[in-house]
Amino acid sequence: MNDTSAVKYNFIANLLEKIRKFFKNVVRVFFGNRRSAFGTSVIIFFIVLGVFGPFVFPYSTDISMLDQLLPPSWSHPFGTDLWGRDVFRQIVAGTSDVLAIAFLAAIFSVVLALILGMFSGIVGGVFDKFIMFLTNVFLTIPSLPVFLILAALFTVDNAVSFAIILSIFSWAGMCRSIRAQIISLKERDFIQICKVMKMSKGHIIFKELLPNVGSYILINFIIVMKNAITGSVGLMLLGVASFEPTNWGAILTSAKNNGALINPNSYMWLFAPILCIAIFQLGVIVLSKGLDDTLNPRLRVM
Amino acid sequence: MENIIELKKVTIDYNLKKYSLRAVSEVSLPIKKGKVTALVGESGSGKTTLATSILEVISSPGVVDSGEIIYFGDKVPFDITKLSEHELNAFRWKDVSMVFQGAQSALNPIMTVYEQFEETYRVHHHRLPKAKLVKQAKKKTIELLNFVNLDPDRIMPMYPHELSGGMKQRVMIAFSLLLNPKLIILDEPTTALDVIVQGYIFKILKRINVEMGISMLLLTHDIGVVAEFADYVAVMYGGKLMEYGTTRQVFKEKLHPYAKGLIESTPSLLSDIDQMKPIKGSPPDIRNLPHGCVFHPRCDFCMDICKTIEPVDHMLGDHLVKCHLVEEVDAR
Amino acid sequence: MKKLIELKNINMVFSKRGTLLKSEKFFHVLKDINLDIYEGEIVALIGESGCGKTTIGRIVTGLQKPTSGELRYEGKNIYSFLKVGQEFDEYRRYVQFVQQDSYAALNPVRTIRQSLEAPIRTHYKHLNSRQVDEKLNGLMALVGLVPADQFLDKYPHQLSGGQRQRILMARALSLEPKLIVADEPVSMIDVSLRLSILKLMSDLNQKMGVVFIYITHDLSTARYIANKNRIVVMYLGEIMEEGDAETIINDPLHPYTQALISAIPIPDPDYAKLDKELPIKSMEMESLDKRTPGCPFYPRCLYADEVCLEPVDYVFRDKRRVKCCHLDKVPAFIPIRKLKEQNDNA
Repeated sequence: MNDTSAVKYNFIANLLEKIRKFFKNVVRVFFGNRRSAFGTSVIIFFIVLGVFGPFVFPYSTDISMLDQLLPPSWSHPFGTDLWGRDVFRQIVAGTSDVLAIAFLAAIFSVVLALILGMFSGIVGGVFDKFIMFLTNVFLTIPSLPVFLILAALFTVDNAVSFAIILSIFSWAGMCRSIRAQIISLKERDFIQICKVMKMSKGHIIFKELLPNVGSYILINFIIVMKNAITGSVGLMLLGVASFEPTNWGAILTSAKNNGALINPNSYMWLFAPILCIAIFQLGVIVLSKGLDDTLNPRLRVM
Repeated sequence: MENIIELKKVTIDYNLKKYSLRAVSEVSLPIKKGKVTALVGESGSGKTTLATSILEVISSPGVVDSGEIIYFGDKVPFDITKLSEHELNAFRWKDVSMVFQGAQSALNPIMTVYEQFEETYRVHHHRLPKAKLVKQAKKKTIELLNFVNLDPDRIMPMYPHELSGGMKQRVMIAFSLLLNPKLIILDEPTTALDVIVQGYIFKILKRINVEMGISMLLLTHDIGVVAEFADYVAVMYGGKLMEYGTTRQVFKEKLHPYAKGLIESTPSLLSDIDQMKPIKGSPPDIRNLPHGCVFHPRCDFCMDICKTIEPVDHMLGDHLVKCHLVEEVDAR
Repeated sequence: MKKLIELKNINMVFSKRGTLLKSEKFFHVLKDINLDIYEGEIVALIGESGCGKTTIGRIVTGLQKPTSGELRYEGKNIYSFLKVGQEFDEYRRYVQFVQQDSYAALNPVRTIRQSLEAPIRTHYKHLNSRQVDEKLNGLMALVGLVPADQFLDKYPHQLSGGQRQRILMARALSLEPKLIVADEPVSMIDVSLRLSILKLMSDLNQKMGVVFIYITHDLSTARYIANKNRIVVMYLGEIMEEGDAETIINDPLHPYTQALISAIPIPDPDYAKLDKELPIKSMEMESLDKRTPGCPFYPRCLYADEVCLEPVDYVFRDKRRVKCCHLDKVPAFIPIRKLKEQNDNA
């Protein structure tokens, strides 16, 4: 009896220890140096804004033509739009959408790149050649005309489909890079010894190879997020996709189309979404640079 | 016996972002003219750092923190650490040259052997008219390649990747002689090479030393090579100079426990297998050097004083030993 | 004594694809290798780079399949086992590998504990966590890394070369192997630590009966570890001399072995003054795609003549076999001590 309870205790203690270590590592990686700390703070700020913002600053679509195109003031920090609606609250409402698109696009790209890249690198042969052919196609075909065509054929009306479209052209480069890393890792001594010790293929893939590409994946995940936002704004400006009117890109498009460029009072209507996008991008870029520092030296050969 | 270089209390630090590492600590060492001095040490000993400081090519962020490196050339002796960049460029390769470890990375992969020789020659003789310069450079290159037993016609147009390890190293040796230096620093010149090629290369180096009177500083961890090739030996550990003397003194008298341990723990063709003893412990971590004598955690003769007080340099004639044991003997 | 591993007529040929301008090249890395490894012994495989010793190591551990020939384990041909079958699995367990570069041989993003636990959990599924821990501690003690906790939770880059090499040894021992192939295990380690690693291997061999195939180009360390055992001298993919270690080192018969031994520097200044001429014609080893017929050492041998261009057989003499057709032409080797005596008396 004593033995089993001791085993249970051990198991829980071990688990707690593992969780504690995991969090310690997360903190070290994301807040370890100044860049990472800054970048992570920016992203967390936007996440909090996106999740809790709409409750603190609720947005109603009521039109109030009396208040149209007001300059910034205490009650309307970013002024109002052509229909008298508060721009600040629109931005807050749209944050979660923007983040969702960016996040989903990154997930789709990374997962696709990871699966195809690892498969290609490990299996080789005909599969490898075929997947490399696919990446070549997606890397050389110009993205803009393809987006225009896709937009003409389909309507983009939710975050998921938007994210899928955005990820079409982000996965190919990553896939090639992951494949190259896998091919070089395959020949390394510590993988060869796995063969000698008859470790299962699953072990080699998930426990030995995958952790080594982990840092690359993390950094590229955020980079794809950044590109997805720019991409989404671009597509919305071109009129190719547009749905939630509170999406920052939609606000920007709406502002541009409705005279914000010429009306001196409404500069914030145009400027506010640009500012938010720029700050988010800055946060992401700085974070990726910071992560590069924390993750790489540990892995660098002495 | 004259010295060609005198290192006086040289201290070299690596200044990293958060802290500073002391790679070499107050090392005073003469390098005798016309002789071969071996600098023996393992990882963390600081030997490469010390040797590269002579040419002021310590890999950054290493800097000489204090001390002097005096060079006794043809003219008035001067302190190398005080030279300007311009003066250093004239000094490097002309007075002191170097043969690096792993010749594979020392040769420019996109230049043929001849092109590399000619380029360096040109930089140091830029005042000569072009035609004369090319003629001289070619003549010198052919002479040097013959000296290291390489066929010039075959080797000069080749690229580094077409040469074998032994051939590359010989090209490096020839290259180091290009401007008639007074001193050549050799950093583990034969580590990656097989033993027959190694024997051959040391024969060539011996010829260079004897026939051309060029002094040599040989960095190595192979004490067999030291015994056969060097006239003087300096033993470094943890950034400090532990022992210095003639090869005979260091090998036969075995005064410092580290040197003694190295000799007794290195298998050779003649060693008595049952009598061999390993040195306990591991090489020091320069971030966390032991107090007192740097070697004390691994020393079989460690006394209490060794754990707290660093031993001074004790001179027995020309033989330097940094050990409390020697002081004890002398005190009696 | 029982034979553990037999290499029969092993040949290994690598080919380099030809282009429009160059024809296809064949590198005959191993030629007609026949070697038996017995239980409980240590065999040192010596040779310079390119002689094929590492390839033999890879063939024995199953990482490389020979172009032709048989590899027998306890009398059974390994390649006749189906790839997945109990016998092949057994072989995989009983023959282990310790590599030269201890840093490259460990996964840089896994702790030592994770790297060591993985093979144990794979092959000993019935053990619970506590038993696995005990086994780990036992292994660490066996290789002299105590207290184990100080090392288990570290990453490879946080340990010294000597410590990492011991961990590679521990990993190889974790599956209770009968044979360990060690490929230059001490060449990347500081000299002051080498002896203790060699002693460790020697102790493991004597106490646990683990057979070691020690691959190296350094005859001095080979002499230490193969003491009272065998050495095999290889050149250009063929075995030149093989037999009792002490006999070969004191009285090498093959000209190549003689050259190899003469080239080794002695760490004693008294011997430094002896003028040792290397008994060898040239410094360059031939490339593996341009072999001369007959004896591979022919181009560099001081005593060679046309007889050497014919196929050469082994001659058995004095506790070893030598691949040389006219040993009578090769002068007796003067061991270094005798040379010194002669010098002193002169």
